[in-house]
Amino acid sequence: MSTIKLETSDGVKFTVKTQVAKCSGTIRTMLEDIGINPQDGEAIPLSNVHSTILQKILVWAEHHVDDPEPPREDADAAKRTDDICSWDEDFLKVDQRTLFDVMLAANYLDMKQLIAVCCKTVANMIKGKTADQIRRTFNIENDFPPGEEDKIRLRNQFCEERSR
Amino acid sequence: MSNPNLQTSVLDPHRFPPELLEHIFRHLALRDLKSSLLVCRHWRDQIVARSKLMTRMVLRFPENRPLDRRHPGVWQVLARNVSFSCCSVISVEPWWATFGSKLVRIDLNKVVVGLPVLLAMLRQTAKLKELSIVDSIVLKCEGFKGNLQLNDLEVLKIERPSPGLLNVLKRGCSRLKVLHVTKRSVTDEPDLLELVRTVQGTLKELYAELTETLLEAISEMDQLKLTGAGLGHEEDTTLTIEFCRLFTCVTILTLKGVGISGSILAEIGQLLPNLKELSVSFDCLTIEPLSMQFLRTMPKLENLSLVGDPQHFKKLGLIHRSWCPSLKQLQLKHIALNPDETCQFLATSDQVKSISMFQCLLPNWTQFTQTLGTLPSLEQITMHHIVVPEWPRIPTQSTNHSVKSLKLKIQAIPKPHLETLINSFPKLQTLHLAETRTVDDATIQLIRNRMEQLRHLAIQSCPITEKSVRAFFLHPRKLEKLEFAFVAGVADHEVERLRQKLGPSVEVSLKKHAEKENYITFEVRPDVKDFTLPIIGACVAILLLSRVVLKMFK
Repeated sequence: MSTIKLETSDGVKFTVKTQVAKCSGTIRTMLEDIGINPQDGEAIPLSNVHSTILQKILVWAEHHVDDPEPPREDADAAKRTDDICSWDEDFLKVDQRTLFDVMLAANYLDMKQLIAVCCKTVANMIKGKTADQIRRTFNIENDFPPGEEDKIRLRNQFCEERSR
Repeated sequence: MSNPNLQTSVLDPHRFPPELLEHIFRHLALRDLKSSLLVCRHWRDQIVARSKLMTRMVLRFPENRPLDRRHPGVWQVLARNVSFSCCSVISVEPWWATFGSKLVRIDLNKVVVGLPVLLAMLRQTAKLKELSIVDSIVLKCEGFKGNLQLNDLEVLKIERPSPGLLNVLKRGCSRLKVLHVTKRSVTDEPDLLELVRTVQGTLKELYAELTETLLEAISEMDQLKLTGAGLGHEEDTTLTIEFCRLFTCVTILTLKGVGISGSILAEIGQLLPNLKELSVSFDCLTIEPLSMQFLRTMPKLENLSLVGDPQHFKKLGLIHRSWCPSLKQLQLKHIALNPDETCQFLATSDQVKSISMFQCLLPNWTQFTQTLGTLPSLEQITMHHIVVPEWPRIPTQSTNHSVKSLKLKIQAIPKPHLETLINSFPKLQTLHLAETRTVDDATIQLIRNRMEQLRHLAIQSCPITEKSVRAFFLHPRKLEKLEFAFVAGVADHEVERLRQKLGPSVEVSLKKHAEKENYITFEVRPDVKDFTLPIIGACVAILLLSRVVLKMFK
C-alpha cells in the first residue's frame, strides 16, 4: 500500500496511506495536477495545520475513506442537521476551540464532508437560541448601536420561510 | 471596546472565513436565521450579502393588518420574495422603489389590481425572476398602453384571463423559461403566440390550453425545445397527440380534458420515452374504469397525479406491480379505489416516497393502512376528505418508521382509528390535523407523549381546548413550530403564556379568523399620471368588485 508523508506547521511528520490523504482535495490536487511524486520521500508541507489537529483529521479520514459521494441537495432550502452519524457526533464532542480548528483545517485541506459535518454541529449549537444566547455561546460582542437590534427585529417579523 | 478578560471568539471575523459562516447559516431554519441577524454586525452583513439565504424569506401582505405608509420600515425588510393575498392594490408608493428593486419573486393571490398600477409596481422590480398571478383580477383601463421590461424573469404564471397583460409583457421578458397561461381569453391569443415566439430560445415549460392556432404556431418555431407542458383541450385529443409528436423530449406533462382514456395515455407514453411526471385531470363522462395499462409505456415515471371528476369518483383498473418501477410520488383526487386493487396500486413500488389522496373513495381502510406499513421509502402521507363507506370495527396496527409527515383532514374518522393511525408512524416530524371531529385534548396529549421526533404540529378547526395548549408547557421535546388555527376552545392569553414559557425555541401561533380584506393605499407614480381618472374609476370598481370576489372565495 502506497503512503505519503505530510509535515505540519509545527514540524511533525506523518506517514499516511495515499488513499486516506486523498480525502483532502488540496492534497489530491497536489498529487494529481501538480505532480508531486510521493515516492521521493519528501513530505508535503501543510503550513496551516497543527499536528494535534491533523492527527484528529486523519482519524476522521481513516474512518470515512470508503464513504460514497453524497447526493446533491437543493441549494436554496434549509439543509438538514439531524443526519450526523453517531460516530461523527462522538468525534466532534470536543471543546469549541478544537472544533473550530478542525473546521478551519478541513477548509484548508478542502474536505467537503468534514466541513459539512462541522457546520451542522455548529448550526445545532445555534438552533433554538436567542441572539443573546448565541453571543454568549460563541463569545461574540454585540456591536450594534443601541436600538438597531429592535429595528432589525421589527423589520423582519413578518417574514416566513418560502414554501416550494 | 470588548472586555479584555474575554477570550477572542472562535468565530472572530479576522480568522474565520466568511464562506464557512455561510455554510453554517445554510443549515439554519428561518427562525434561527432571524436570531442570527441580531447577533452582531458582521453576521448581519454576511447574511444580508448572501442572496441565497435571503431568497428563502417571504414577506406576506397583509399580515392581518392594513398595510399603508405607516408600516414600520417595510422598504427595509430583507425579504426577497413578497406575497400579496386577499387585498387590492390601489397605487404604488415611493418606498416600493427601494424595496422592489431587490425582489426576486412576487405572488399575487386573490388580489384585485388595475393594470397601470401593476405595471407601476413591476417597473421597479428589475431583478424579478418569478411572477405569479393566481385567482386575481387584473383590470384593464381602456385605451391604456404601456410596456415593461423584466429581463431576468424566468417564471411567469397567469391564471384567469387578464386582457392586456400579455400584450404588455410579450416583448419584455426575453429569458422566460416557464410560462403558465391558463384560462386565457380569445383576445389574448395573438399576444400569447407573440410571447412564445419571442422566448422560444429559452422557454422550457409551457402550460396553456392547446388550440389549433397555438399548435400550428409552435410547430413552426424551430428553436422551441420544451421539456415540460400542460395542455388543456376541449374534446380533441388529436391535438395533444400531435403536440407530443412534436416535442418528444417532454419529461413533465399535465393533461386536462374530455376524452382522455387509457389508450390515449398509452399512445402518449410511446411518444414520450423520457416522461417523468404525469398529471391527468379527467372530465369523465365515461364510467368504465381507467385502464392502467398505459403505465407500461412509461417506465421512467416518477410522479403520477390522477384527478377524477367531483361528480363521479373515477375508477381505476387493475395494475401490476412491475408496471411503474420508479414511482416516487402518487397523488389521487376524486378517485375510487377498488377494494382489492387499492393496495396493489399503492404497493406498486418500493420507491414511493409520498402518497396524497384528496376526496377519494377508500372501500377497504384496513387493507390500506396495512399497505402503508409495508412501504419502505414512504415519507409523506396526505389524506383530505377521504370517504370510507364502512369503518372496520377494530383498527389494525401497522408500523412504518420511514414516514415523517402526516397530514389528515378526515372529518369522521373514528377515534380508535385516528389514534392507531398516528401511532403507526412513531418517527413523525410533521403532523397536521384539520377539520377532524375526533381530535380532542386526549389526542393532543397522546401526540405529545408518543411522538418524540415531532417538530411541527398544526391543529386546525378541531374541538380542542386550552388543555391542549397547556400540554406543551413542559417538555416540548423537539418541537419547533406549533400552530393553532380556528380553534374556538383556545384563548389568546393561553397561547401567549405558552409562547413566553417556551421562548424563541418554539414558534407558537394562533390564527383566529380567515384573512380579511385589506386595502393598500398608495399614490400614483408620475409616469402613469395621465391615467389618474381611469384609475380613480378603477379604484371604485376594485372596492366594489373585491367584496364580491372575496365573498366568492369564502
